[in-house]
Amino acid sequence: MAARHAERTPHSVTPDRWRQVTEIFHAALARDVGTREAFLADACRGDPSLRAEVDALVAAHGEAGPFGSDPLFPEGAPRLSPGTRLGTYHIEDLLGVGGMGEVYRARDTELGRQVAIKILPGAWLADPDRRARLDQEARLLAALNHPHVAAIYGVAQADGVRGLVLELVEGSTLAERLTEGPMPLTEALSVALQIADALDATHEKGIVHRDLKPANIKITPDGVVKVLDFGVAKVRQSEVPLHADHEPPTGTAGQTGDEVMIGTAAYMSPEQARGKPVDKRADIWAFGCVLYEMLSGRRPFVGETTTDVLAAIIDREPQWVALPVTVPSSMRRLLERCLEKDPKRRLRDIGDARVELQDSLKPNTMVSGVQTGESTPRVPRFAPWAAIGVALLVVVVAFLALPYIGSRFGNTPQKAAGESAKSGAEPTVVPLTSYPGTEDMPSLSPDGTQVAFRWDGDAEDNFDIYVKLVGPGDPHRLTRDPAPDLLPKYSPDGNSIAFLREQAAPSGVPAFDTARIMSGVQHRLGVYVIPALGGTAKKVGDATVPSLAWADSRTLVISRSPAAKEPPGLAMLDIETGQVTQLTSPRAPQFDGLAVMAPDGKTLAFQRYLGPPSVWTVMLLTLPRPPQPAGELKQIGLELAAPFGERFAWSADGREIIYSKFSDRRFLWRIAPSGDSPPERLSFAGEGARDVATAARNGNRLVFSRSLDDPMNIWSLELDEAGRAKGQAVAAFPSTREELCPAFSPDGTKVAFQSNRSGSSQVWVCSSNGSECSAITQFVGRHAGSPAWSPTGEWLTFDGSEPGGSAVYIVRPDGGELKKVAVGVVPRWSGDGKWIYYSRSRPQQLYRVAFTGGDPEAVSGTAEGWVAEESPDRQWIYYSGDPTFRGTYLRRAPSRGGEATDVFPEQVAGRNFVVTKAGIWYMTPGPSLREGSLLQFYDFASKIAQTVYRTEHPLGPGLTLAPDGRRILFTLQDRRGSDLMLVENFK
Amino acid sequence: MMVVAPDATTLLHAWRAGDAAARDRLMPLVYHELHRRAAAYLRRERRDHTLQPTALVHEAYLRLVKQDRAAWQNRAQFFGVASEIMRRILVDHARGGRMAKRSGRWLKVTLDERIAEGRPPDIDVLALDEALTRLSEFDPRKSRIAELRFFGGLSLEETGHVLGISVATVERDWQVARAWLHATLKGPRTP
Repeated sequence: MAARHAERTPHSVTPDRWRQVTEIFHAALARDVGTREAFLADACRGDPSLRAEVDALVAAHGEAGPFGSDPLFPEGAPRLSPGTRLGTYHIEDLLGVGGMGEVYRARDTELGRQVAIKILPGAWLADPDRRARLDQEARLLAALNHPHVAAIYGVAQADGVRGLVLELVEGSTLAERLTEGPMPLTEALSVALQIADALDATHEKGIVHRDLKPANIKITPDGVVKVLDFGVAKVRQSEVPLHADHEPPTGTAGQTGDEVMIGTAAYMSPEQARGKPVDKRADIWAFGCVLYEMLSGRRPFVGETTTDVLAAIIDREPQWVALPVTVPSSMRRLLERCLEKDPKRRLRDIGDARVELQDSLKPNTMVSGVQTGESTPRVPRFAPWAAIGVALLVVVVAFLALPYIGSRFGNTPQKAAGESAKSGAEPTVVPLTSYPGTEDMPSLSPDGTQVAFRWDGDAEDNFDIYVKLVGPGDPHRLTRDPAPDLLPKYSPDGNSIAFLREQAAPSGVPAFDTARIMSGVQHRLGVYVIPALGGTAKKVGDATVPSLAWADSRTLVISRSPAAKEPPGLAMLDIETGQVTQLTSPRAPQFDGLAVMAPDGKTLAFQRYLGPPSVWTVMLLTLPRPPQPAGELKQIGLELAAPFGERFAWSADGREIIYSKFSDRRFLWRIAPSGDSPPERLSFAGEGARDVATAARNGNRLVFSRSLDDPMNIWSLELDEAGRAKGQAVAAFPSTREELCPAFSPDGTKVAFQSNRSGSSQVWVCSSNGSECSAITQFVGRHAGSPAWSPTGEWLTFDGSEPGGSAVYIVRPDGGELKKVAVGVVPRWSGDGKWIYYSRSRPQQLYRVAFTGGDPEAVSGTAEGWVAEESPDRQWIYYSGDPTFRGTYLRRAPSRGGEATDVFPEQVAGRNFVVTKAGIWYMTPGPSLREGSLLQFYDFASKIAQTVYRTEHPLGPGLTLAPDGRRILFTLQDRRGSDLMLVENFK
Repeated sequence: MMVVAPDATTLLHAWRAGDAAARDRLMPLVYHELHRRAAAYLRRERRDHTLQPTALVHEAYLRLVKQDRAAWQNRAQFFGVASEIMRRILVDHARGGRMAKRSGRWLKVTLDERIAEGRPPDIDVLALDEALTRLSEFDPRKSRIAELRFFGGLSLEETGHVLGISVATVERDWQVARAWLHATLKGPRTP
């Protein structure tokens, strides 16, 4: 690093020189401008370059302005510490700090409920104006008893602190929700309707909120919207110019992160931006901004600086094209009217918006803004739309009649879902597979008895297709080709499985990257069919985008580019003749993929990429017979981000689509394809769901893949006699649980490590080949880890949590009684077996204690030491530490006492080092976080460190070398991992 | 069946209580969360969105850490870790952006709207990173202070808490670091 930067550094600075420069700098700043010149002339006498350097610093100090100032977090501690009592309220913790106040979570000890308490920040406590403002907010809220406005319960006062007692609204703010991208249409409209409701009631009372923005809107887990923070609200009679309040409404002084992040001026109306008086129409503007952002995922007015944002508000139109095409024209019109720059021409009454929203949320109006079905036809506001509307009407009605409306069940999907959830047994979720690595892309056989999936195998190196009975039993491997296989799909008769095989994947490039597809760099995928019970895979065609569905027993639906540089569209492939018929021909940048066949055998749902920002919408088409380009497509009100990770399936009765959404915590949802009811979350499935599969003839069964959360694993690398890596590292104790901090026993036959395989982190010992594992500790409610062996192998030492801290223990390697020897962490044994080194924090310091017990002693000369190990000759103590806050370096100090020095100028991971006679094995993060980790060896003789092994996985704690030096174990984080989960009694 | 990995709150408590391994294990959690958030944010738009790293760090904290009393005390520790990671994420991202510049997919990263007010809008993250690295070569503490302020959004007091030094010292060091960085980022000082 240093060498690279040196080219850019005209003069290197020595520490002495730097000290001199900074001292004169401080002294100069301490003088006023009048005497500064004389002082500098004197202080730098005879050294013009010193003078130049000080001058540059002093000048920069003057020019720096707000550079580096960060008012995000108010300086100083919050005023009320947890445990404080405020009247009958017991403060529990701080929820947030904003310009207008500090908000705490508190318990009402009389009524036994949780509340939020808002008090003035300390600086404004004595300000009568601010206090009056707080009291006004209380009165406003009291007048505003509304289900979509967070309620006020009262005012609390004690010890000169006055606070508003408010309804505590659980859930996340709309701002948090929007960091994850745009919302589906129905959800956005439902939230907007509730906001409009709240504003309507507010305006009716003559109150203007003046600070409506996503950060002030909360959505409870039940989907109820609450508008918060009336701290700058105004009663209509006292309309005054904004700046008369000495305070712009948003984002100036320290506010919580959300508010600042969502930015400041972004929701201000043009009249506010100009500093003119505001009325309720400013709220209508802000409402328009919020609705636009929910639908498009981006703010309507943006700029790189606040000034730019304000300029955009005053001068520019929002980018209407950023609205998804699914947004009905009535909503576009509503947005245009809310975001009208001239308040006189703006939507006058938020009540009008409410009506529009209610209409839009009615069934059968979600289709491209066209009225359909039996709802009273409304006249579209734009003539062109009206014309198209009439033209499309017939088509759409035909569509709606197809699979669900008027189906033999004669029931609306929403009602059916609600009923079935109540009847019969509750859905259960059990793991179907929990192999190492990734099992995903499940497909259920039509009768639901078997599942096909892709798995990267025990070695986690290449994806192949496997099948397995639903229930116990081993998986059966169907394919063995070195190319990655994906997307297995059972044929309608269950006898064959179609799948895709990557033909020419450029190595190191993530497969199926949207940008690559758009830029024309396309994957080539082979389409294969194989007997479901095993046999030879036969290639039947080619595809471009991963998408595979059976239309009937001899026809597949694939996605491919009809010609070079044309975006991929859906096509029907006859697997016997190889004939391909293009179904859809999207126009760039659009392309189609991920088709899923409905159980009626006619309707195909697929995802169409609409263009940036990454918007994918689910569309329906009816398969034309005989194959020919498809007729009309129908968009349904369902948008999914992240195309290829996300999959969906039809319910067996064809009335619902079950899907997982990238933008939340990967819950499973279901929705009726007509889009006329809000999506329902399948709460039993939990988080982390990805791919979904259903069985055509067994509606009670559902399989989905669940991503695992980055567990740690111990990896093993063989070394040759010269200490070079032999082959690739392999997982040493594969499981989907985490294992870390390995330690070889002195005879090399056993490995102690830390694992949560029993539920909580405990110390385990296995034989070094991974068999015969047993838990050495069984701490209840506490964890134990960091094991290390005594030199004779008779004892293990480890650290374990205890109330208020951690302690160092010793135990026999076969279990038995524990003995606590010290308070501290990360113990290591001394070479003679008599001492245990360990460290304590506050201040960070290394200690050692006789393992038989006694008083611990600080290890001298090892400032900020963390993990210590003696050199084999016991002359040195090597330790990792961070004495200069530069990061963690490996240092060494003489055992007999004396100053420590860095061993080499490279950072190490705290405990990942092993000292041998010849040198030091250590691990360090790769040059960037993307580049994983490096195993290094530093040779004492040559004083050179060399990379022994490089892995793309991030580093975990722990490194141990077998006594014969031929095998090394280390901890890596697994990025990948996914298991299949089985849902029974699904309805 | 699923074993829940210890959450950030638990790790933060354990770390504070002296469990050094907890810090090792906290890092990936924080990285994952921050990276996810930063990526989500950067994905959303091109030029017209600003990324505010300190806001992201704050959000990550709110999201990862249960807000109980002890957690509040551990806030500074969290931010100490997070600022380091945030710096790496941004630098990584900026490198990627620089490489992709020719393909027209260049993303500008603005550190903070307020910094930008009334001055050239962007701080080049790479330049800041390099300047911090240079500063660390002869004054590691000042460099770390600047890192905590820029990428973690720590107050002077919190910065002092993380580094175990007095607020007065932080203030003094920060004054120098800030001036030096500003001078360095402004452009070459040599004629």
